Amino acid sequence: MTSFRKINRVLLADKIQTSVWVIAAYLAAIVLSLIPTAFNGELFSSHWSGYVMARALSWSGLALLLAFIFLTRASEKVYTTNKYRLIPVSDTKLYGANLFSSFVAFILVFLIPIIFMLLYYLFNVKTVNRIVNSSFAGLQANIWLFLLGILLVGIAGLLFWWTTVSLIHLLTTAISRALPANNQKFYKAVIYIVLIYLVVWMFGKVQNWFSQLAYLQYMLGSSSIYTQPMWTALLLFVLAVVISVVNVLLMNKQVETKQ
Amino acid sequence: MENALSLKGVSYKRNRRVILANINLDVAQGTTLGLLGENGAGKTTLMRSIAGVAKGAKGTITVKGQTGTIERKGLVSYTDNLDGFSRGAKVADIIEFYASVYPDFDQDKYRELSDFLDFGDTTKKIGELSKGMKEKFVISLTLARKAAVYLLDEPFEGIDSMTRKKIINSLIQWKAAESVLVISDHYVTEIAGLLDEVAIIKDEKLIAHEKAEKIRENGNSIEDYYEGLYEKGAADNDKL
Repeated sequence: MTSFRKINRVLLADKIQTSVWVIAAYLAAIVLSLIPTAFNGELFSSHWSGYVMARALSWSGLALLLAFIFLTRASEKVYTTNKYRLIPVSDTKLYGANLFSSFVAFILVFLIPIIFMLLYYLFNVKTVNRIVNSSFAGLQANIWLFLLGILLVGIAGLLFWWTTVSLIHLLTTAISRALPANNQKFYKAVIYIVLIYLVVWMFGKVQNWFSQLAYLQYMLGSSSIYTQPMWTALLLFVLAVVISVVNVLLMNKQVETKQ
Repeated sequence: MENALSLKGVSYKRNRRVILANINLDVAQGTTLGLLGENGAGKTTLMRSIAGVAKGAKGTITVKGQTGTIERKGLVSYTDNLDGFSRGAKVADIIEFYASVYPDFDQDKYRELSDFLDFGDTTKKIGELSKGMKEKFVISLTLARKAAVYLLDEPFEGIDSMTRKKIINSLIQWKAAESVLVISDHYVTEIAGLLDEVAIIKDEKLIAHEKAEKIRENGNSIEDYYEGLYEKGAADNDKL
């Protein structure tokens, strides 16, 4: 049988290729958008690091969005192609390795704006410390603990949305195989619309329920700037695990490769 | 001789259509089986079921005593036209992929096979390969695994006669003595000389499973036998 390490390695190799393309496009966009500042001399002034970081941050959203879209596409292909489904490995291992490799590849893209921010910090330590201190002045909070909470929400949110996209894809594939072969494209389009609507509706309901729960915590006096993001991360993580179990079951019983 | 491949009551339904109905088949180890039938008869689905990628197949498929899907995947070598590899993927990368994910993939055997088939260029991309070259590559990859069952789905489709001969020779030479080789095709003449047994699928059912030797002893060629069964079916349908 193929080990988790080996399946992970081949999946990572494929996805890192996608990340490298996104990173290359991201860096190219930063360089191109810096050209005007180079011509008017601003790039060679003492504020050069500020210009670089501003461009890096302004393009980071698009780069992360593209990475999410391309990695999601690559991830979903794994479930329906013989390249991966013929490998002697359990569906749970394949699913886990697929999710993990997407996550690592996404983090790779995420690290690039972080590196730009760190570079800016290195060249402007005093300024950044002053801004941070004045922004959080009077707040009796540990900023690092708060940032950790936000990071956990980001990670759990990423996993949640990936598992949800897979759920919609795998459910559509499973339902459409029970419908007649004619008009499959039409059936799939209708199923996708209905499932997306249902997911958005259910997510709204869960959010509503969760905000009530958070209010309850507040009433009990246990809510704080730290616990709120932790609770959110925990909820998203639990949801991602539950959805993953359903996805693996669908892979195991219903979802097959294209013929 | 012990059965390397056994199918008991295998049925498969998809898109409200029965594709395989109650297939029963036992194949002894070392056998080269011709899986014959028209286009759409269910040959590919049967191969996909054996390989463990067709989900929802009913019945029991046993490969060397193993019925579990993961175990079967480890014992069956099936390449299915390189589905999932991009046209830009290099031959060398695909070989490396196979070596990584299939513990039984033998790189030396692959090299010998590809040399025999005059397919040595590993720098080419999939999209640059001709149909014949691609088929040679697929066969080299498939046979380079040390599997109990090899599945070749229409390996001669759209290939010139010289390449066909080369591939047939490679199958004769490189098939492990104890392994089962299943070749599906609807051009019977091409593979007749290779076969120990034939299994014929028609209208989602297995209508015949016979030893090639017995067919020849009865004075028939495999092609006549196959066509006879199909014509008989057509005549029976006309009567109805």
